Amino acid sequence: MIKRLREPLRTVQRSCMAVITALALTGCGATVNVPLTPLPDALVEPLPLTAGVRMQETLTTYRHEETLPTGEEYAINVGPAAEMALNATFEDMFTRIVPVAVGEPVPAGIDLLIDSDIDALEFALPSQTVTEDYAVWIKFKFKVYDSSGALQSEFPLPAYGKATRDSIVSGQNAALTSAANLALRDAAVLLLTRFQKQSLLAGNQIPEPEAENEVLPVAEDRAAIQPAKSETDVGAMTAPPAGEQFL
Amino acid sequence: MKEITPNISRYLVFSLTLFAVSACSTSRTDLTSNDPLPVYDGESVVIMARSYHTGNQTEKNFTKCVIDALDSGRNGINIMPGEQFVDAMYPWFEPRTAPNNISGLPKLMNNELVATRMRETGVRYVVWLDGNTDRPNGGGSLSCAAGPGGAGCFGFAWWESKSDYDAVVWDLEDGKEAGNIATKVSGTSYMPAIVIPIPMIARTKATACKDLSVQLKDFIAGAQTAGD
Repeated sequence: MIKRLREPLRTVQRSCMAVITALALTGCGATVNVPLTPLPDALVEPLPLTAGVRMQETLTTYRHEETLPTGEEYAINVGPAAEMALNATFEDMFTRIVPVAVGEPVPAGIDLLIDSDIDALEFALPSQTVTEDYAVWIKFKFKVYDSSGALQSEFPLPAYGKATRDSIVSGQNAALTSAANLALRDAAVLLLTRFQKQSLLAGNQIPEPEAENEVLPVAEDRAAIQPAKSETDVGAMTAPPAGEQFL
Repeated sequence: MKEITPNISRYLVFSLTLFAVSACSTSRTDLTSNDPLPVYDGESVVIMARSYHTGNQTEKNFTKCVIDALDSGRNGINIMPGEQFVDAMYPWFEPRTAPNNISGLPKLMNNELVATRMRETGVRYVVWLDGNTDRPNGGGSLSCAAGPGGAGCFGFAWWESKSDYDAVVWDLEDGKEAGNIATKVSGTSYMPAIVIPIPMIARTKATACKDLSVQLKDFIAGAQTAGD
């Protein structure tokens, strides 16, 4: 009986070893394609303005590639999802938006032109944070021009998303995707609420978000997680000053 | 084959005995509230974890555990999924923009768009969950090895678990904090291993979920009966 079982048992053992070896060889990084996730309609009164919206090609095709010291290779494709999120957000923010191609002059009939770009993307894995969290930071860069094409304002917008792997089955791709999606949503929220702040100046009585919620614990977290590439890099990931003028 | 059977039986009995000696834990739950909470037909409750922008976020599975406990049973409460509520209130209940405390709520409700949408959702109470489960201490040594001839573990490991959670209930209609429930559970888990590891786990998170949910359900569902 035992002799008859020996060979099948060996086969099972070999199969198990093969599976374990295969599992050990996986986890050598990930490629994340952030999906086009629609944002909900925003509960904000659109500003009575016609805005030209220009997306730089570096934003629409943004792909972050990084090789960790462990040799793991990661790639995060966030461009198309970022473009979709920003377009939806600008549609909520203004009564009318006009897409403007890169290199095209400021079209007639618009009140302002917003030029959008991504400056940097960083991420952190549980092995770096010593938690179960995956985090993604995206630093956007916006330029606002008036109807004559003169630069009125230029500001960075650091957005942050954090997600936890739901289970071993869902994998780190799902967690990183979720964190990147939350970072895009965070950027949209920042744009919506900060422009609403500015609208207060124009007499629009929509309440501001709480001042204490504006604190972004990102720079400190990130600095604690891993050494900054330079002081400038970390400084750039802090939130813009609360009173920053957009228009 | 017959000689092996008694040994297996002895081993099973030994294992079951060890399982029966489950790891122990201690718990304490405090409820601070003024009045029971009335919930009328068409009203619902939202249960959400505090923003991760203000620190460590309560684990998703803990939030789900509390929701499942409140949603089920004879006095099940009408729960609206947190994601649905956050989407409906976008962008005012996002991690970055949700009021940190009750004092920020009236200001938010002054926004007519927000107030109208809030009424449309039928949400009467928001329960904010805060806290998490930590493993502050642990020790021992347990090693496992596998080879062509088989696999096995040997050693002894232990660790402490502390589950510390708060549930703060906001009454959106009255714009005030309706109650606060705090649960602290601590325990020590053990895992001796002689070939097979035998875990004796102190399930502090599950206990905290159960204690918190029971209090919360009594607090709300008890009043629901009175309210109906």
